[in-house]
Amino acid sequence: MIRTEELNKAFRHQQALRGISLSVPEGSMYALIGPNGAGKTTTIKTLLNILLPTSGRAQVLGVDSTRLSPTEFAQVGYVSEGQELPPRLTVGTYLEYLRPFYGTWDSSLERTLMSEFQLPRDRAIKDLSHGMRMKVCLTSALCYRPKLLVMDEPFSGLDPLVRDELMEILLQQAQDMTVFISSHELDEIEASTTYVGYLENGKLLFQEPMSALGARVREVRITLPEAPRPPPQTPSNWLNLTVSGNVVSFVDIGFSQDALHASANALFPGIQDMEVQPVALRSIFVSLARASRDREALK
Amino acid sequence: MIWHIFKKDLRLLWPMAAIVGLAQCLTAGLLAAQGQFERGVNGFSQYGWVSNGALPGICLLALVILTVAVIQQDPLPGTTQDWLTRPIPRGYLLAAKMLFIALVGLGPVLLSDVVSGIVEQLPLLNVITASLTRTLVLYGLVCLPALLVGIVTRSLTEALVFTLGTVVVLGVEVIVLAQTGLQTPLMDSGFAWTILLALLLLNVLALMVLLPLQLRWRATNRVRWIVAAYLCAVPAVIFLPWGIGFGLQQALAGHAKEPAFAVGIDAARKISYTPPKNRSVGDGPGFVSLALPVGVSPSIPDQVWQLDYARIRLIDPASGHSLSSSRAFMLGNQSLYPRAEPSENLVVALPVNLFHLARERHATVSATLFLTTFRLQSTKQVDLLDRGSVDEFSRCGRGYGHVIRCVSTRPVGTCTAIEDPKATDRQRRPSPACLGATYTPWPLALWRDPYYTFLVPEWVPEVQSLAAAVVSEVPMVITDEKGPKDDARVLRSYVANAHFLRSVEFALGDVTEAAGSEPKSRDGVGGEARFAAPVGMTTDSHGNVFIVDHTDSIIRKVTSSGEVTTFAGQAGKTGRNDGQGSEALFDHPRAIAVDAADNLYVADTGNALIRRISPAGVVSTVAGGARSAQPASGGLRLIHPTQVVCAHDGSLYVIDHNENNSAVVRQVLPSGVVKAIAGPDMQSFPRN
Repeated sequence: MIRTEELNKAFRHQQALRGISLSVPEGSMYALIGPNGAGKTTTIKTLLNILLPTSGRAQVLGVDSTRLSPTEFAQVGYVSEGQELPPRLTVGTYLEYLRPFYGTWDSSLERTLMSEFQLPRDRAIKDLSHGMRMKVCLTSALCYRPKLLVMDEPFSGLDPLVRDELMEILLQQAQDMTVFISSHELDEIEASTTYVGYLENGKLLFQEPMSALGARVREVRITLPEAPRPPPQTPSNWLNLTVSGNVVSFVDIGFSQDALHASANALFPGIQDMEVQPVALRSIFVSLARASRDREALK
Repeated sequence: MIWHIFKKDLRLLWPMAAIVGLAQCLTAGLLAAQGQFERGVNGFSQYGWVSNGALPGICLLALVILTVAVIQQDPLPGTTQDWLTRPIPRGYLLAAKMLFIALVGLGPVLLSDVVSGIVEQLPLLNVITASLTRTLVLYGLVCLPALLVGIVTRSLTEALVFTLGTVVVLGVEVIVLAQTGLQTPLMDSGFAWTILLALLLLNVLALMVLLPLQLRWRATNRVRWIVAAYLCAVPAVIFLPWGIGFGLQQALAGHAKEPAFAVGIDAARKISYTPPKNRSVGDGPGFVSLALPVGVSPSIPDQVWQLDYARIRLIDPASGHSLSSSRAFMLGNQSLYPRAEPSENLVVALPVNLFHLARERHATVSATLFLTTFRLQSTKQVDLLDRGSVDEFSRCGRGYGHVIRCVSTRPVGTCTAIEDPKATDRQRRPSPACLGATYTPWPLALWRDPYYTFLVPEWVPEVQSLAAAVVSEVPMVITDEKGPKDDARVLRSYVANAHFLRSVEFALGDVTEAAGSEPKSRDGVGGEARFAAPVGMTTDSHGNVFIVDHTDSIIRKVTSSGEVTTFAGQAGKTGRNDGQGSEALFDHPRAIAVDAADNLYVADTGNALIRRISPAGVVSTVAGGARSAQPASGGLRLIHPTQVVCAHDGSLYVIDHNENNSAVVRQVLPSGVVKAIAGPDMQSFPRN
């Protein structure tokens, strides 16, 4: 569905994307996560030919992103936090305006979504709240049942109720769609995400299936008989190691039972107890982001 | 799809579109209802600045705003617009916007033009072509630049700031260009339309280059700079040395080849012929070519009509460099400018300071003139002044004797001389005057735009001879039309029947030496020939130029090879004998005209006769004297005929003077009978 090779994008004084190679399989829900300023929005805009790549290439629906034509756009839905809809059109006229451009527009779905979202047909878009506007965006992106739905921070600035509502309807409708989403609201999307890509400072640090990620990341708590001295060096896959009293905790991002025990026993002799727990996507993100920040601080 | 996008924009912008359309229609209606000559203090409309400047200006501004607004409904700058990721073909989007501008923005303009043309009872075809042309020109010159501003701005405020910035830079630029002595050689000449055409093409080109750049690369800041630079650079076009404009004019006119020769008069009042290729172009003294400049007027008349634009340079005889240069007005011949002395066929009015400078420094005066003669083929009925007959942007001037001369910028291009009904009989001087109109080869109907040029419905193929191009006098046909009511409320409509434009350049010679010299005429080739006082000119179908040499009372013939001979009369000898060539005598003739069969008609002023010279050179008398005065048939005497022109029906029209020395127009029938056409002695002349 989406494939990029060594995608680079530079603005005048800033390298926004550095050799991004990602691939979004068909039917997946791909979450692109990363701290603010990592380059998520730039990636999405480059994919949709809103920005031109400086070098490298991207393919969307099998077509080079710089050659996307109305035929491809008719199969792509785009919902973005800062999307500007024609402010003076009413919701109804806006959808009416869009309808003829899409051969696959489903009017019954439009009615369903309108009623589920409780959208006022006669209200001008500029008079809507941010949440309502996002609902209009999503409606206008779902009505033609796109093959690919690209969402850029769709939930930011929304209250939890609206967030849930949007997510629920998105999941209802997005069964066969490939969804490419960038979001900070990781709790909402975790359940349905099948692929994760982590972007940091313009680089894609990793991308893998959610199951694999879940399998290799663990939160570890080690209880020792007495407060240990911080070890001079820890394995590189241990992030955010903290010592609090006689308890040492860290996130192991390359978890394997044997390796963990071996390393832990070597560094902390006399372990009383070792607790190993799976980690939520949100915690993975926080750990990665914090580790990155620490690395930056050390530099 | 285009229509679908169009409807969306209309739904959003209909209030603004309605206001723009309404403003346009109201302005047109107001102008039509008001008329140009609602008599104010000085004879012109008291509300002229409103109708001529403010209202059309507001309409144009509104058009610009509407254009920018419709583009900004789907703004190009930025990366967050919804349309960017919609399956809307860019071409359709652009086409929809262009359609909107054409239909909603310019539709009312076209409509109001057509309606006012129809109301004015102008020929429908002319009205439509002229209105369409004006619409197209507005599209190219107003809407396209606005569209360029639209594609690089996101809001009207941004567009306003952008435009204001550009305007400020432009103002400074134009002032600097003008102050540095750069000339706009075409601006007031008949060639101004080539500038418009060039601007139009440039705008189209800029759009074709910048729009894809902005759509594809979306490098708004870069494109912004380019658009701003373009808008600032474009006006420099008017300062270009527009030789190409002249060339284009000639090419369009079917005169692609160089003139066979150029005629001029040098400092010693000696006529000279210079092959154009050998002309020394530049400021050097001794550069001569055309026209018949027989005098230099040392003062600026208190009231001048800008017939055409002349650039005057004073040239230091020692170094050949320009001492000074200035703009001046070139005045026409006697028929165009009543006060001019009879001997002045062409007058260059030098600014006083230049004249004094020239005299002190013994400098040579060089003038570049842009002569305009023209053909106007229509005979639109002209009603009386108080009925608002002349459209609002006619070029009109109040001349001496309370004669208002106008050249209509209507598509039919009527040329009229309208008498002020309030003027006394004495002040009435009917004069077939067509003034400084400019010419375009297509019907450029910009009659609401004072800055634009004159329009002519058709090109004249007759003026094939390039020798004719040097003729500075406009052959006129005066037609006497009956009005729809046939009630003598009809004024005359004068129709010029030649149209040609030419730039001429000549040296007036050393002013101090030339003053007062009175050489006699002499035949010869090229520079050998001399003229005593050439006052009237015409050309025949073979390209020969016939010149009335006033003080020597002879008719000269100048062939296209430059040979000057005396065609009829004897130099310095006056009389009224008919006969072949030198057997015939004239008495200070003033004017000459030619008919379709190449017969020449001479206004033999001193003899009060109209003489005919056959192509073979046989002179006979056709009117005047006792023969014409047949009281039984209503015939009149001629007293002081100064102008003669040939009409298509075989009759002649003569400007004569009555016993009170008031100018009158007479018709000379083929039978020789002279009839009154216009003038204060006509009992039926309309009184208001």
